[in-house]
Amino acid sequence: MSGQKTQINVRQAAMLLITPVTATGHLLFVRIVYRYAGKDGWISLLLALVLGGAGLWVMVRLLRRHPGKNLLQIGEDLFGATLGRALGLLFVCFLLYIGAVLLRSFGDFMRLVMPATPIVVLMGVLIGLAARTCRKGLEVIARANDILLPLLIVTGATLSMLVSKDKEPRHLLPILENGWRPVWAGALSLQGLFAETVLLGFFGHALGSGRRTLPRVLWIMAILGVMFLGPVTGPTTLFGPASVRAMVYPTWEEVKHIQFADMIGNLDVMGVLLWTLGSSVQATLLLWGASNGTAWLIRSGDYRPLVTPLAIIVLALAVLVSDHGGELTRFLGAGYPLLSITVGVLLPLVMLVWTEIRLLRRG
Amino acid sequence: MRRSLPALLCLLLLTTAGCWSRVEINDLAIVSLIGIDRTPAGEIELWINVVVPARAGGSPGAGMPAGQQGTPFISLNARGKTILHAATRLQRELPRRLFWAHARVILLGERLAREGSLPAVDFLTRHRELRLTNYVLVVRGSVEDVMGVPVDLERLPSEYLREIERSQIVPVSTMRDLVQAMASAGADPMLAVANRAGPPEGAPPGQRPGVRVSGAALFRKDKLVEYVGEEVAQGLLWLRGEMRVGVVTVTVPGVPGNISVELLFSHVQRTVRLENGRPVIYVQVRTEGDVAEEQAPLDLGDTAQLRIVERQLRMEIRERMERALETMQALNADGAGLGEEIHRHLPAVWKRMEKRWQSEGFRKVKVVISVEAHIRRTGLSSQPQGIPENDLMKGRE
Amino acid sequence: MSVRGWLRTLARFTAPPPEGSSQAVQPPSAGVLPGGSAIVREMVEKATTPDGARAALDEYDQALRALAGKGRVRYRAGLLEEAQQALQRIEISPSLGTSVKILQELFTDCADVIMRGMLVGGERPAVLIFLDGLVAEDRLELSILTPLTQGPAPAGAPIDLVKWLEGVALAAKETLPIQTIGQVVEAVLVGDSVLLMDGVGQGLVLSTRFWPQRAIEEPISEANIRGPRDGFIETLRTNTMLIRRRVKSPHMKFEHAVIGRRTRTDVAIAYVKGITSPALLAEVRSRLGRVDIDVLLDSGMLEEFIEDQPFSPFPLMMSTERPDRVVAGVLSGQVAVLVDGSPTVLLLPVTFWHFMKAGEDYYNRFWMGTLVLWLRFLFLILSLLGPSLYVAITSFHQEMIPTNLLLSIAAAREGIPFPVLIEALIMEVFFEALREAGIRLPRQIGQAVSIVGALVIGEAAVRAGLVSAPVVIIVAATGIASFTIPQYQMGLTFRLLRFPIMLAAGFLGLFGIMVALVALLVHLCGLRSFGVPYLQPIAPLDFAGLKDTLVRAPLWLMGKRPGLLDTVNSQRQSPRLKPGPPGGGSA
Repeated sequence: MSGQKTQINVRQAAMLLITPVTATGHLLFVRIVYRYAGKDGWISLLLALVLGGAGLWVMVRLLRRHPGKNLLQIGEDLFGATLGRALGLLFVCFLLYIGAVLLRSFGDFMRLVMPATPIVVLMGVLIGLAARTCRKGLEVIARANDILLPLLIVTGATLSMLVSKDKEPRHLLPILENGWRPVWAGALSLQGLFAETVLLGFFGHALGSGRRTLPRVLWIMAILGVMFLGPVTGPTTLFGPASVRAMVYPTWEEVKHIQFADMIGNLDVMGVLLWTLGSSVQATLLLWGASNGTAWLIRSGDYRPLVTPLAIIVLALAVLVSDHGGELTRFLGAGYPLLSITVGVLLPLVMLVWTEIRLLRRG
Repeated sequence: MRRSLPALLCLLLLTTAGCWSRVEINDLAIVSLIGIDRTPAGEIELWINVVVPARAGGSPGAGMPAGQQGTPFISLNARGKTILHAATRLQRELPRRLFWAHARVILLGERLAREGSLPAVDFLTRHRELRLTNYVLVVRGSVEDVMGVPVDLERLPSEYLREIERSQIVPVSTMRDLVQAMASAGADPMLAVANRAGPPEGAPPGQRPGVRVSGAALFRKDKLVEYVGEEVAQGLLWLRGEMRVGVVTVTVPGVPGNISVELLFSHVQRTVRLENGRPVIYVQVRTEGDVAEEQAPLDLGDTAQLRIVERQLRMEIRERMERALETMQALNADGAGLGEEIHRHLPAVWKRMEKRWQSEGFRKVKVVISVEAHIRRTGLSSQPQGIPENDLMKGRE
Repeated sequence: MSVRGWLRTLARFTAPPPEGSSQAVQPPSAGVLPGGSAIVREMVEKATTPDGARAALDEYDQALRALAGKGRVRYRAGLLEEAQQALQRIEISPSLGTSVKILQELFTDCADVIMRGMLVGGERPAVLIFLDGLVAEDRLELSILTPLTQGPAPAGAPIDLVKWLEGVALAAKETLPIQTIGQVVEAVLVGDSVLLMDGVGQGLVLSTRFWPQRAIEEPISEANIRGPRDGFIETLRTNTMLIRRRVKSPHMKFEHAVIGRRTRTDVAIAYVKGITSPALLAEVRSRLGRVDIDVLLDSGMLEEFIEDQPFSPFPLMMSTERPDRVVAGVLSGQVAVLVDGSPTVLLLPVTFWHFMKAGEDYYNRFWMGTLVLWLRFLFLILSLLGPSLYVAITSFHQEMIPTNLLLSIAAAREGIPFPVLIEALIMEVFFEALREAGIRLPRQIGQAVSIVGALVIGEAAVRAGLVSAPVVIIVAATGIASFTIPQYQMGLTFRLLRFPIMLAAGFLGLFGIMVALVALLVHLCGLRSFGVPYLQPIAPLDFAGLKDTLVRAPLWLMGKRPGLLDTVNSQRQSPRLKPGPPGGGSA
């Protein structure tokens, strides 16, 4: 059961993409979407799904053009050792960076629930757990995710059903009140979320051959769409567009709002539950990707020894990344989309185009 | 060994530093009721009811002197620049940490409400332990009047108020509704009103003063404008589309006696149409109910007579709604969120009139109210018992 | 130089110390040779041990010393087998005295070995060797001793004496001629009798095995209401009989192996040919083959040597006392390992979900089976998380508790000196102690202990304000919950896991619980039992397997064997067995 040569099937790969996107989405991006697009966030979502779907399609297609290879290997094949490695380094840094941002925002959230606990401890526990899981190999991660993701979905769906009696869809009207500009801004920032599908490049060799690419990508995007439709509409319908803008954790407020039949209520802590589950899977995957990438870059056969140092780096980055939650939000809204689109869509696209050109030239 | 190193490190970290956020229940001062008022000097005055578990928690706890009597809560107050400022002062007097998560009811004092309740709202929405589902009521008079009053049937005044709010027979207003309406350009808040209902002076000594919830308080943005009575409040509920259940009592002209109809289902539809370049709001009510009490000599087994009662019911409801509308427009307080309705359905028109809505738009907007009411059942009797057959009204209409 | 030759050389250097010195120190009973009868004594006095036999005996002795870590020969795997081979090389001498002398040396101080000398037909000396207590005495006397001592002598010299014994003289159930001393030793030790006769270069094994054994009783740890009540006992043969009686097919195989250098415990690998995956079988054989231990007393000891992940708190094979369960297991492709002397049989490979099932689930209606299954899952979670959730919620997330309940708990906690975590830990540990005491004590006293523990101490502790009543309730509920897990081992695991999770809850609240749970889940996901993922068919997901995992589907729906065991033959029964009213119409 060496972590290097393990195989996961396509369904597991898809599920592995969905969990982390869900976790970051709720913790970080929902609020940004609301900031930009307000009650039209769902349109942003649809646009971002198209963008993200395109990115994912590019990635899948690229991987299938180079069967059995991961993104970094493809990079070296295409651009030679030096440039390819530089590219690989960029990808790895991107993963580490997302990891740090996620960890930080998770820490910030947990700080809210447990104000007296130092944030380093909260983040350290999570990244420690992730590191431990990471070393067990992708197969085990995928299997754990097989259980965690349905759990997340069922819990999330139940919670949103419990609160649905208080929702008023009329708050979503009027549509596109302020035109398309804010909606596009929201879409671009949400796309940053879907850029995490770049992770697929790291375990993409598992995809192998098989059916056509497009239906799979559509499936993943459809599931993601359904899973995010709640978060980008729920708080608006519940609290009204004006209140939601001020909220840092709109979906958590939604969970806090649950008051059902006098028995079920005050489920604030369910947020902890869901986000711990989601974030732990995500941190694990990011660490896995980063350590595997690094192992490839330094031509080491085993990624395991790299996990702990990388985890410590991520933790340090997370401590340094911002000293104030709002700053993080601003960055994620403004600077981050540029980065994420570059790494998540443009780079793979360039690689794909280059591949196709080479194929054309050759044959 | 290396595999479990991170876990081990974490464990070490944990054991060395202890458990930071842990608070034992008996180190908590559980706040059950929050009252916020403003002093004449302009300071915030914070009132809280803190539960005394030994007196409130069912059977006497272990290790406690059994049968410790007294009210199950203590009322405290402090003044400060902000709510938290006042709370910190209160905290100094308490050996236990203030715990806000179980404060389900928030009272706003009349002075604060009239001068602007915005300063109170932020703390109540920002603090992680407080939630938007908390009920907000305006106290007619000073908060102090209601805070310390012991209640019957429930252990705590907060529970008493919460249960009344939950029963939905009075206007329900939560923090969510309050901030939503305050932030919206096309709506104004409406809160339930609590006041002290003391026994009349010189009542027998056994009688205690109580707390009553009645009527509603109309706001213009964050400022209290006026109190309205029960019937206007009910009309407002109809206009807001929040009327679910209730009792409407009608009389039939020319017939002595009252008839009470218990409404079991109500549906309100609000639409906006553009007529001659002006938005007109249509409020359509559809309601169903049972006759629950009849003091009039009508034979409701007779369809024609039932129709008469239905018509009266329709008129009564419409009248209440119209009265509520008139009151609102006179006070220029859009407690029904009619402006929002225009905003939603005719965003272009709204853009034009948004600026003037507060000043005059609302006053001038045309609202068409139509009511459809059906009586489905008449309980166990089709006509009042005990009336000789000849005295019953017959074949009218 | 061969190993054996080298050993022989060594043996000369490490010959036993001279007699006189040690005899003075040893108690008088030591050094007693079996076979005190006059005939035997007389023939042994005249006999001498041949050189070849001497050397082999020394080799054997050396090997035994090496096992104990003494002597100059270092222990290595296979040494004992070689030594036993050495015994096999000593042929039974036609001179009875020589053979008996060698056997006497081997069985020195074995007070339970009896060497009965006799004169067959009044003239030919013979010796019957057996273990007292391990043979059926009446059978021995009636069918062996009586005909030999009182019957006629073999007529004439040249006839084949072994044939004569088998064919004419003996009335024993089963006979087997043997040639070497090693075989004699083996036969005697398992309870057979060996007849050696002067002038015959062979021995004759006579089947006389008999030992007292426990009756077949209802299994204590896996009782049920409906279904068979018989349970395994300590005798391997009886246990295989219990299985064989249910599977009347030559495909039901019992492979024999011997484990334990000294205990020489019989182990049987039971499987059904044509169902069990050959790869699995090979794996089981190879894992059992590498177990080189001194003592094997119970299947539990074997378990620890053949696990996939020795540090996991989870049982990686099922141990059961129920033959029906074993039969169901082997017929679905599992392998059973039976150990002589142990009433628990190992079934492997297993998944986590196997432990959630009781055999009875399949005998009751499937609705009941499913509901009970869900009940178990629910209480499994409660038994794992009950106290930790209480600790986390009451000391970190008090907002989750409904106000009235919070007030009650707060009132109960007034004046309690300990934090909730400590309170819960105290009660849990106390409860575990109570349970442990209840198991070890005789039943009557055990009841007294539980009364004292539950009523007196629990009630008194609450009254005295040491612990609060809610904690007592939680601990009691947890205790009950842990008993709903049908497999005792799994119950133990969850009892154990409760404590770290409680600590995590005490330090980090629900976050701590979640972290612990994710870690636990990841651990479970990484576990394998003989190569089968422990959480299959949930993770990795296998839809076909869910009908026997999350629900107990009707038996007529479960036409296939579980996919996870990679069985040779996957079809269990005919596909369309759904019953209905006569005429085939559906109800």
